[in-house]
Amino acid sequence: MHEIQVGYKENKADFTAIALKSSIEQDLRIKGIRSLRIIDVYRIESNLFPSQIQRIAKELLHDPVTQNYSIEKPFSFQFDWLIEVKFHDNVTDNVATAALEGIEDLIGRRFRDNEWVKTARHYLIEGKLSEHEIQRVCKDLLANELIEYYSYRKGHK
Amino acid sequence: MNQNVQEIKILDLKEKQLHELSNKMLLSLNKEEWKAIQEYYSKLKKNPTDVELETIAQTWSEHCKHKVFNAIINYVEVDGGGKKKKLLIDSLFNSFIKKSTLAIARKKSWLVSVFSDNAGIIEFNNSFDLAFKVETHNHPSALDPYGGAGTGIGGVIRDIIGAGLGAKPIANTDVFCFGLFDFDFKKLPPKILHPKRIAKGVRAGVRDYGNRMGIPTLNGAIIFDDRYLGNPLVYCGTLGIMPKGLGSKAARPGDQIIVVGGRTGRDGIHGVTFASTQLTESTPSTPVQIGNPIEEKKTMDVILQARDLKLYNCITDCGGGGFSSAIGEMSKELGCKVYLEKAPLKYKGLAPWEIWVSESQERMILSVPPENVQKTIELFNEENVEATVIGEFTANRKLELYYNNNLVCKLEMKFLHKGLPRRNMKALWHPASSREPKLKEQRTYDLTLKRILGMPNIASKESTIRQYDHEVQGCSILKPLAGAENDGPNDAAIIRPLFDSNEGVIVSNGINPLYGDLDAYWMAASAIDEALRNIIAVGGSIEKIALLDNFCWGSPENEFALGQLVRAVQACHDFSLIYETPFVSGKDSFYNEFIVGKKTISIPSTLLISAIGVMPEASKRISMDLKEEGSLIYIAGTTFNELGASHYFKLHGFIGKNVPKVNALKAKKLYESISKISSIGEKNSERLIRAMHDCSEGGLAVAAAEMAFAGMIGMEIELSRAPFEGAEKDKKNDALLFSESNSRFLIEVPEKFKQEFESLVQGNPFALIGRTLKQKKFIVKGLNGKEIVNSDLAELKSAWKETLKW
Repeated sequence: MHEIQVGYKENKADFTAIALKSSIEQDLRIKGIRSLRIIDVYRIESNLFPSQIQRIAKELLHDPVTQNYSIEKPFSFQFDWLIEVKFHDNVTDNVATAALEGIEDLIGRRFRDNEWVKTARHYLIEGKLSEHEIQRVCKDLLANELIEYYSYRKGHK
Repeated sequence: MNQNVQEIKILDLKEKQLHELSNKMLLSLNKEEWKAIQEYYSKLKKNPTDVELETIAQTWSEHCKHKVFNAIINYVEVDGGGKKKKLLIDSLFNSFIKKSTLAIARKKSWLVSVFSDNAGIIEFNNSFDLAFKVETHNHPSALDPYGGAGTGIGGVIRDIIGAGLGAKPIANTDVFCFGLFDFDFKKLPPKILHPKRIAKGVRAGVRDYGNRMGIPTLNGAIIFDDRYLGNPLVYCGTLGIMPKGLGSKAARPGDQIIVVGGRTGRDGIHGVTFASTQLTESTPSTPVQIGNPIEEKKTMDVILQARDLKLYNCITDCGGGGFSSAIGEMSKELGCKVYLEKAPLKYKGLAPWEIWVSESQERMILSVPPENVQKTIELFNEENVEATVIGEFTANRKLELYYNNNLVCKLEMKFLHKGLPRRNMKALWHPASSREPKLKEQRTYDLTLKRILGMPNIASKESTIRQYDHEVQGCSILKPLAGAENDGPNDAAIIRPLFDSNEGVIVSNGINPLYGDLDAYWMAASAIDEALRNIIAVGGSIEKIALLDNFCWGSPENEFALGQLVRAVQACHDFSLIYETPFVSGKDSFYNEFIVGKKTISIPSTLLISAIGVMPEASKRISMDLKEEGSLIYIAGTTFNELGASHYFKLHGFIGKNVPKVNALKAKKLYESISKISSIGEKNSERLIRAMHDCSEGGLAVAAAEMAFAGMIGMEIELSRAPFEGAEKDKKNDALLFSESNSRFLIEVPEKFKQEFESLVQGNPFALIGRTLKQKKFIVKGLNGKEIVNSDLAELKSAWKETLKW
């Protein structure tokens, strides 16, 4: 499986992240977030050459003006907590479907039955939040457990 | 029998076992319905397959057959003195709503298709018709606000694409009812999402679907009440336009059944039967659907091409109930054969019944004559939209479904569509027992006014409106917001759908569930009046207005709730008839209630009235913001002491008793006079009316303040001049300021047109009550001539804008 991560450049504003931070502060009344970063994660199950993966990241999945990408390894951002949210199996994932179509066009062949694309989102949080607070952010804001699954882990400095 | 299909043993089951089976399979079938099914199958000497049982449950669902509106109802009304009045109602729909429309249809020639299609269709001009529909997507939005609301809007857009032989969507309208957004997180019951999270999710869902489809969202409303906590209401509406002559359609025997658009997955299995059940903590997740607006946009574009090439005889959308509902409805007078294995799937492993009832989004069904099949498929494939033949229409009045050459469902159309036993129900109504509170007269009402302006139902909805694209397609000519700083709330939106014509369509709505707590009859009357006067307020006329009803109620087994429904439906009949504004389509949604632990919370009985008005000259539009200093301010319409269920009482923790009523005969006369006046003059300098705003929630004070701070032009008014009817003791400053009496307007008229305006409005209750000012102040002189309000416009505006700034 291949993994491509896409995130905003340090000097570009990610308004989804800004709105999310204010939701955490104002709606959940959880303070202490120093920074919040959103990373889009694409997992591709298919035997592709490194050059193909490179093209998919560069030409299809990221916006070169505002975003950076990282292939087969996470970005090197620091964080205190990393939250991952993804769909349960069989829940329609439109972004993955669109990415799959784009990849097929790029590599010039259709995916077979055992090949697929799935998406996930990573939320990288810097700040002194307790595990309980992180759980609230997951349950009350980021993931709808009916259709989504979340997990989190502590960061390293 | 095929291993993918199961026989469901029902013939020997007793009532209790059938009830358990219904719950287990999520069928929502009641005991009379089970009896009819058992009788049908005992004659056939066999048990149904799972596909057959699912088909029956889907077809007989409240969502699809409107059982409550077609029921026989024993209605008892108890008046204040305890006297009983009884009425036996043979179908609420036929006896009231349809009856009034049919009566109006004898006088108005512009009705094209009413109550029979996906949407109501009326004539726009000599070349085009309009299709209008508002749907609800309440339960899915409670579970997944973003996906639920998105697929709500996606669904109603497909209703329009599938109206007649296909209309092009040109505007959306969205109305939401949410729990209180500042609800304490700690008190939130398990599995209920916080109201603010629901509100933000729903808003984002509507935004992303509507904007990505390229359809402007022009009109709406948001209501907050604690009883919507576990069951928000999400009303999604779409207006479409189509060339004349495409209003009717019918599939023919031999036509091929082609599914176009999205693929079928497990999304939304049991959505319609689920809609007829209460939400509980253990409600399953399969009814959640995820929408894909880009897929729908592509599908829509090709369908409109196929329509113009006349490739198909009939079209309908796959909404609630999926293939079962869409193909079942199209073939009910014919019969059909469907080969379920041919349907394109998102993934493997779906059982035949799942394919048949799945509510996967973005799918439409076409009925295509054999000679056009190849061309149709090529056309869709060219645009990268899947189109697949999955069966054909027959003439044997049987529904026959096959899976890999095995017959998995065979049902008589007659039984399926006519075999449903009618419900017998009881309804009871009595007046509310609440009393009018005695509130102390205040020396000034500045603070009260600011607090009322900040109440969530009245406060600015700008933060929501601005997320919606209301410019796309380039036809909106009166926008949701107007004024000096582009933030004043217009009463309705106007679009001019044809670039070479000045004709316009006005979209408005009326909703006030609080009135229903006192009397659902006057709630319905007020909602109709509000929708109509919003159209009048922006320069429209009452000549050509079509209405949609949209009832969201709790459990109809609750006799009082059903009594409220009877009252509301009676008002719909009475007032649409007097105003001569027919209902052309509608929707009902029951069981909007939520069980937490052992307590059942029902939503307030809520009726949304949506209206479209055809406007011969859209350039005669009027916005609500004051335009210049030195103008005269008139009030048209009578104020009564009708503070019952008003925001003023709510602010003080009361509900009161005197619910606003409607005198439709007087109102109609006023509306006719006003629209005549609005049509005078071409250039702005020739127009008699420079600004107009209706008085609704918050009454005269809120309407006047909104006009002033929208235009950032001051205003001074004197309450003693306003026409008031009622006992002298009821004539009080607070009643004049905040009473929510219907059928009233505030109107800005340039001084030079004083005589002309007054002579034209003569014969209606009206009065010159004030002027616009140079200073940016809102000043009200009370009944004794002393100032009771003197506030800075900027302060009033910020009180109004602060509450929902998220």
